[in-house]
Order: sequence, then C-alpha cells, then structure tokens
Amino acid sequence: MSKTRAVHIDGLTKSYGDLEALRNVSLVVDGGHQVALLGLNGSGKTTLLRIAAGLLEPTKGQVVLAGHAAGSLGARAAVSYIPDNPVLYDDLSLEEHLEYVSRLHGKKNWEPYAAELVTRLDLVKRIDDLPSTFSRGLRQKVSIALAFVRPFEVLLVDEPFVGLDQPGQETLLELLGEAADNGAAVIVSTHQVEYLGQASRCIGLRDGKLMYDGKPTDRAEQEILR
Amino acid sequence: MDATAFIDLRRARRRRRLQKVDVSEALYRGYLTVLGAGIAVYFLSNLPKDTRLTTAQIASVAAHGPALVGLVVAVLIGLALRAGARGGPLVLEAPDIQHVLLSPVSRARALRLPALQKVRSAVLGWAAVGVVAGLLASKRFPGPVPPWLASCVAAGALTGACIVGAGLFASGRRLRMRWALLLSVASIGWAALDVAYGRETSPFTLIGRVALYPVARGAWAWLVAVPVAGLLAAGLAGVGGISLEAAMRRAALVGQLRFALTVRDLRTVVVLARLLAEERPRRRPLIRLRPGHGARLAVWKRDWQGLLRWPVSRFVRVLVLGAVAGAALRGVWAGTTPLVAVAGVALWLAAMDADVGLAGEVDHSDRGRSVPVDEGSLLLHHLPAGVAAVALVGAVGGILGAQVGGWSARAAGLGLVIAIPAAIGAVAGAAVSTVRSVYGTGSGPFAYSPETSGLTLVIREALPPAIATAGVISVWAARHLAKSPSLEVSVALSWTWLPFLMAGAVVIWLSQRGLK
Repeated sequence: MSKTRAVHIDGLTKSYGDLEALRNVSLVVDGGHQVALLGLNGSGKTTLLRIAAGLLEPTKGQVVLAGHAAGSLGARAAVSYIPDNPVLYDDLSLEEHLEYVSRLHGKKNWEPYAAELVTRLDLVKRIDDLPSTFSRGLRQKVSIALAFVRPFEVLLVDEPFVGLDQPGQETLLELLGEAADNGAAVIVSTHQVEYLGQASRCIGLRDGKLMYDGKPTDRAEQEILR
Repeated sequence: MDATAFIDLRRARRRRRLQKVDVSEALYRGYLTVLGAGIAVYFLSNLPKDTRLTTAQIASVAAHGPALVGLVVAVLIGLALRAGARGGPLVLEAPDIQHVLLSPVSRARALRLPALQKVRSAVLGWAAVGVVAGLLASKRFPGPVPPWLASCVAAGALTGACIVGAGLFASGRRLRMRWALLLSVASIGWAALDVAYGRETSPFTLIGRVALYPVARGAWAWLVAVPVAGLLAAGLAGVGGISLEAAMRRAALVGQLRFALTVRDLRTVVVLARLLAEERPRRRPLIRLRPGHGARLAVWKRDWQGLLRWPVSRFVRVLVLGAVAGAALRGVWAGTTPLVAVAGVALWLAAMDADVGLAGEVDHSDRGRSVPVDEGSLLLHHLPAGVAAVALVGAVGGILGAQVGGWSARAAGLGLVIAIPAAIGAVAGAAVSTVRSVYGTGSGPFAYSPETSGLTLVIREALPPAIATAGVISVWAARHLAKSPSLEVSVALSWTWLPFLMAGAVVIWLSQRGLK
C-alpha cells in the first residue's frame, strides 16, 4: 500500500430531519497515519465513520476514499470498517466467517493470515464455534479479525476497545499500528487513552462540527471532551 | 470476488439450519398445517348461505366490478411505492449488509436471490388470497368453482407481482418520497377515474377484469400480464441500487417486528410498524389546547393532545380503514355476510392506531403506577377519546366506503346510526389487544391445561377482532331481520346491545388491571 491521500472529506453535512448530525466537515487523512476521532456522545463520530464506510448517505458534501467515492465498488474494496457493535451471522462459525469475508474480497490465500489473526486474538479454541454463543468481548474480537483478514487501504474503527480484555486491547493496538505501517489510513473513534498515545493526529467533533485537528495531546483531549 | 463464495455461504447456512431441524417434527407440523388450513378454507367457504345474485346484479358487477377491484389494486400499489421509497420490500440481515453489501461485490448480483424470493412469496401469498376470494365469489355467482378459482388466483398473482415490482422499483431507483406519493396519487387517481366514468383505461382495471373474468369476460384483459411483467423486470433490474441506510434501519426494525409477531405482542407491532414507516407525531399540534388545572379531565385532555399530533399519514390510514369497513358493510348489506368480519377487523386495526392515550399508558406503565390514581380507573379514562377519534375519522371513511356502487341515503343513514356502537366495539377490542400485551390475561382455570391450550390460544387471538365485529353486526341484523325498510334503523339500533355488552365486559376487565 502506498502512502497517498487516502481519505478526502469535503463539506460533509448529514441531517436527520431537523437535526444536523454533521455540519460542513472537511478533512484529509493520508495513508500511513493513525487518527484518533474524539467527541462527546452525539457529536457525530459514528455518523462520520458510517458515511465514510458507505452505510449512510451524506446530505451534502462528498467523501472520497483511495480515489473512489464512498460506497462505490472501488471504495468498498479499499475500506474496512469495524462497527461499534459486532455484526455477525448467527449460523456461521468463526472459520466460516473468515473464509466468507476473505473470498468476498477476492483474497486467494487467506488461511495463513487468518490463522495468525486467530492466534493473536486468542480465538484458536473457538474457531469452530458459532458467534451466537460468544460473549460481547469475543464477538468484538471476531469483528476485528474480519476487518483485518481482508486487504484494505483505509481502516475505519468505531469504539473498538469496548468489551475487550487487556490482551485483546494490546493486540488491537498492535494491529492498528501495523496497518498504518503498511500504508493504510487508520481512523479510530475512541475514548481509550492508550490509543491517543499511539495516534499521530487527533480530530475533535462537537455538535457535528470539526472543532480540533492537531496533535493528540492531553490538553486537546480535555478541550474536546469538556 | 470469488464467484462461488455466495453459493458456499448459502450451503453452509442451510446445513446449520437443517442440523437444528427435527425432520419428523417438521413433517408432522407441515401435515397439521395443511390439514388445518384445508379444513378451515373448506368450512369457511361453505359457511355463508347467501343467495345467488340476480341477472341484473351480475350485469352490474360485470360493468362496475373490474374498475372497483382495480381501485383496490391501485391503492395497494400506491402503498408499495411508498414503502419502496423507505427501502422496502426487501428485508436484509444486518450481517449481509455489513459483510456482503460493503464488499466489492455487485450488489445487483448479491440481491438477486433475496429479490426473487420476495417476488415468489408475494405472488404465492396474493394467489392464496385469490383462492379465498374465488371460493367466496363462486358462492354468489353462477357457474362452477374452478373458473372463479383460476381467475381470482391469476388476479391475485398479478397483484402480488405488481406490489413487489413497484416496491423494488421505488427502492432500487431510490425514489424520493414526494415522487413516490405523486406516482401513488396518479395511479389511484387513474383507477378512480375508471370507476367514476365506467371506463377501462388503466392496467389496474384490467387486473380487476381478470379477477371477474367468469362474468366480465374480455380475453384481452389477460394482456395486462405484459406491463406487470415489465414492472417486475424493472424492479428486479434496479435492485442493486437500494439504500444501505434504509436497509440497515429495516434490518433492525423488522427483526424486532418479527419477534413481536411471534410472541403476538400487537402493541409492539404497531409501534415498530410506525417506526418502520418513519411516522412521527407532528411537532406542533393541529390545535394548541390551553393549559388546564386540576385532575378533572386531565386524561381526556392528554388524549386529545396526542390525537391532535397525529401525522397526516395516520389520519389517512384510519380514514382508509374506515372506508374499507364501510365498503365491506355495503357488501354485507348486498348479501355477502362474511364481509362483516372484514369490517370488524378493519375497525379493530383503526382503533389500534387511534388508541393513543391508552397505548401511551401501557407503554409507560411504571409512570401510571406512580400517580395516586387506581391504575384500572386510569386505563378506563383513556377510552372515551379513542372512541371519539374512531367515531369521527372512521365514520367519515365508513360512510364514504359505504357508497361503493353508488350513493345511497339509506346506507349513509345506517352508517351514522352504527358509528358510535361500531367505534365502541372497535376501541374495546383494541383495548384488549393493547392492554393484554403488558398485563397479560391472567390465569383462568384452563390457562395451563395442555388439552385446551390450542383452543385457548385461538380464542385469545380471535377475541379482540370479534369484539370489534360485534360493533357492526347490527348492519347484518338490519338487512336480514327488518321486515320493512322503515324498520331497518330501529332493528340496527336494537342490536347495539351486543357491542355495549361486550364493551361493558371489557370495562370490568380493564378496571381489574393494575395494582392489587
């Protein structure tokens, strides 16, 4: 993956009736960067990530990912998204999930990397189990494995640390770092202080407006979450 | 993309589902369902002993029937367009949206199978409606049963194909709501013009002619299958364009809706259906009521505050349900007795929609328990506003609907006479459905008996619409028991004892709810 302008958001506005969830947000994220997305509840973080993932449609403005409009075939190939709530099939095992998602993304030799992910996320014993029997934390680990098992240039992550145990959090931090090192643009919506230390940039949202874009310092965090 | 991934996924999921299924148990259930449904259809279709139509009446049906059936089809297509603009009719699973539709796979290809399954279920479902309609029609029209079955099944299948085709077209092309409404109004208007001028210009009227083919004839009417196939093809071709935003919302709501239906929680079904339709109370009421003081009439005023915040769609829905009830009662008056159940169910549904205050109390039962008023009494105080709403809005629709086939002062007069008892019956039935979803029905002597549980379940589910049907039974009585036209109103009035009796029983039942 090359270090290019991976995410380009221009004048993004999203309205739900009278409520404006995002107001004229513009930002650019280059490949190889890790960005922490901060904001109070209802500030528009999830809406921003969902629009970029192609799940929501903007009211105004545009989002371009790896040179493709959000939601287009090219963007779908480039963007991996981990939602705030794991979305899994109740009747497919973990291994079947990994196979299915890899194949949908045209990954031929998926088994070795899938096996590595499963080992690092401590899911080896559950490989043949159905996620419907998993705890919230285990389902989150499956969701993470599915996001990383496929190729991507942009990684969008919404509150990924919720429900994860300490080893799981550490593995996720490593995986996010590796993704950025491999040239992907990584945007993580989180309140996890550890990730702020790892991110190279911090973006703050308040009431749907971009209110901070700079270094992820403690002061910036306090200012955004005040 | 690996082209075999879909096939393998389906295979894996089917294998998992089959592992959970006990084949002998499934076969036994299927056997019982087919047997039960067969007996029910045979029994019900033989139940009405209504008289055969005269030659003049048959000629009237042949002349006006196709356009009237076409109007019903146009209304259904209008509703489908509206639902399509909100993302219907496909209901996708959330994981399919997350993993399949967000992958670099052609969405048209990924959605082809669910779309075809939807077409199949709609066509078969409406064909089944055609079976019932054909059996009922064969009781009153001359000629053997098979032609009626064939024509009604064909018309049902065409209607199903139109509905699903219109819905898929609207969702795949992301038709804006205003365009969907415009198309709906245009379709209904076209069909209505056919009714008004006795013409056959719209394809909907041709579907009506297919339904009434044994008496209406006109082999060219079957050509309507061509535009229907075109609409279906257009819908299927554009299926890949659906909005994921709408699909996600539907995935979440329809899952809950199905669960609510499974546990027969009708109040939750109503609430979820409104969320699905994105129906919200208006921010500003139609009329702002002045602030009041004291407990007197507080519940009555609260209910009107809710009623005055009805969105236009709910007014229209209650009005249409009232019109359906009115048209059905006109059919009862004309001699088709089973339509009395259609009228009862339509009014019961209207009352489920109109019972704002009672439903609000039930939704937030903890709040009701926190006020220094007996809970049963509080629930009862919500009923009058519901009765007023159904009587006002439903009666207007009912009287309009009763004019199907031409204006009749007698029908209008009878409609006014039965408006209040019908509204009381409907609200009483709806109150049972709404309140039961939270408080339950209590444990009667047979509640836990396995031998009677099936019968108890049937009675439990049939009771609310039966109470509503009792509210309109006076139309049947006036038609069959009045010895002269001048006695019709007095006979209808004398039969209002039944809804009042049932409403009385519901009032006693409601007053015993809550704190003990």
